[in-house]
This record gives sequence, structure tokens and C-alpha cells, in this order.
Amino acid sequence: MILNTKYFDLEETVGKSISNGYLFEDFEPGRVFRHHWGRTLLASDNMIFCSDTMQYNPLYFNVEYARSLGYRDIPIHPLFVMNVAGGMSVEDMSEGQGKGGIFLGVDNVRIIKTSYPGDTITSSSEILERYLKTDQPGWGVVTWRTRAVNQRGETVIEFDKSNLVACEDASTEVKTGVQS
Amino acid sequence: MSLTGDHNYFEDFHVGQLFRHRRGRTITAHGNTYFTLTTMNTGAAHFNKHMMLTYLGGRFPERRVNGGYTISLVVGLTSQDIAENTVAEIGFSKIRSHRAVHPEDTLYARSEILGLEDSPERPDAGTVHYRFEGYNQNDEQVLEGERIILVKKRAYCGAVEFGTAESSSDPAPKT
Repeated sequence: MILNTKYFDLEETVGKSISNGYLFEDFEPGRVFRHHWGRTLLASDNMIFCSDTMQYNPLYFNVEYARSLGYRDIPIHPLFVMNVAGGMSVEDMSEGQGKGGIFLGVDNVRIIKTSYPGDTITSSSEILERYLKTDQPGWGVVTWRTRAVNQRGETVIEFDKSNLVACEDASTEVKTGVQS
Repeated sequence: MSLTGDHNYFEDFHVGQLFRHRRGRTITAHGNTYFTLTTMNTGAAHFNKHMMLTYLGGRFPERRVNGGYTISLVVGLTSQDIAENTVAEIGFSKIRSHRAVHPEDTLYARSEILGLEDSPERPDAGTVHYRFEGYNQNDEQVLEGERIILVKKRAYCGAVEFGTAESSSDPAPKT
């Protein structure tokens, strides 16, 4: 199948106003990215997420059961909160100016505060470390800590995500990260 | 009849216990696209098949399934056996993606109990620390990770009646 790759010539088709992410060289350890939009978490989002991903615990389906456990409403599943916090980070952290990024893993997911329907989260990410892949020239691994904060400024979840990230220049040498 | 199973209270688990979870799940292209977009994830590799077929010279045959969706599905597949009596979520760690997942792949899950501890804040529950692994239809491992949850103790079940709990507190333990 031959497709028209010219359609994806970024300089021609991507408006200047849309951020298209960053590349390995941009992710200096300590740099903080504040992600766009924010997202209100709805009861309907949570019910669909928990049903679709088969989270079989009535805590996530049955408000009377949730109340019997001391929750004031059905809590938002922390994996949904993590995915929305991470989803809002993708334009900054994972799109790689059209070169893409590949998800490698997540560490240290800390569920700090319960989220309820109607809560609104925003997210930000801080670069923790990076290194170049010696076996894959032009690519490196970047790890960052993403934090989601609710409308009261309370941190609700934190996690450290690692992606394979494209370099702007395949001959890039990074002095600040750990080399592998 | 109780709303949750009687086989998965805190007392029912032991360290080293292995599970091959009975259910499997075929991922659909729509499910992956819906999940990706409803979580505000703008990664086109998950929802633009045309772009994916041209990406990196056409080395990929399909859209990739969102890694967060794979995590959620594998954890979900473990939930009825291990997490049905969970009263609070503590966290996850060491999640690793080992292999790309594509629409129409089918996921299965296995787990191992790694640790069991009483909770200093919740006498009615204990922490269950387990490792989960996701496999595809060819028995290739696609994902692994660990999860820590707070699970009801049988000794305390029945102590709470529906509708009687105070509604203002946050029962999740503080970290």
C-alpha cells in the first residue's frame, strides 16, 4: 500500500500555533512542562472506564457500596486519573515533533488523594533523567515525573514515566545524563 | 448473597500465590481510539491508521494500542480474583511495556502475590502487593508491573452496613 507521505510534511501542514512537542535535546533534567487544557473527571467517564477495562470491584460501580466503605461518592479509578494526567502530557512529552515517542514504562505511581466526580485536574511534568541509546542512534530514553493537581491545588497522583524519544540530531551527545 | 466474592479477602492470600486469570480480552480499534481520546491523549499512533502506516517508512502494520489502555486492561483482568474486595488504592510500580499491542490482539493476565502486610491505619484491611503480567494470544509477554492495594479482612466484614458510613471522610490512607 502506497500512501501519500507528503501530506505529513510538517512544515507545510502544521499550523504554527499548535505545539508539536519536543525532542530529546529539549528534555534537560529539571525542566518543567505545564500541560494544556485540564480535564473535569465525570461519573460517566469513570463508569465507562471501569466497565470497559473490567475493574471488577463494586466500589467503582455501586454508589451505595462505595458509601458503605466511607467514600462520599464512587471514587474515580486512579488508573483513569493517571491516564488523563498522562494524556494531557502527550503533546508536550510524547509527540516528538511528529517523530513520535514509544512508551517504555511507569514507576512510582503514588495515589495521593481520592478524586471524585466533578473534580478537575491539570498536570505538569518535570524531567528526571535521560540517556542516549547507544544501540539505537538518534533515540534516547527520557524519564519524567508527572503530577496531577485538582481544583483545590491538591496533588492527587504522581508517577514517573519513561519513553523512547527521538533526537533532533542523530549525532547528539548529552553530557548531563547517564550514558548507556 | 454478598456483593463481592468470598474467596479474595486479605486472609485468603499468601505470598508466592500464583494466578492465571480466567478471562481474556480482545482489544478493538474503537476501544483503543475511544480510550485514547477520552483521556485527552493526542498521540496519533493510537488513532490515525493512515499516519501509522507511513510512520518510519511504514514499518508498523497497524495503530499501536495506548500503553495506558494496556495497563488498565491487564490490571482489570486481575481485578476479580485479587482486587474485588479492595477498599483503597495505594499505588503501582515497575510497569514495563515489553511488546507492542495492536487492535484485535487478545490479552490475558497472570499474577503473583509478592507481599502481605497489616495496615497501621486500617485494622479492617491489609495491603496486598502483587505483580501482574499481560500476555497476548501468542503467549508473548506484553506488559508487567506491580500494584499495591488495601483489601478487606474477612474478620471485619459485615461490620459496615450500607448507608451508615459518614460521607465526608477520605478513607484512603495518607501517604
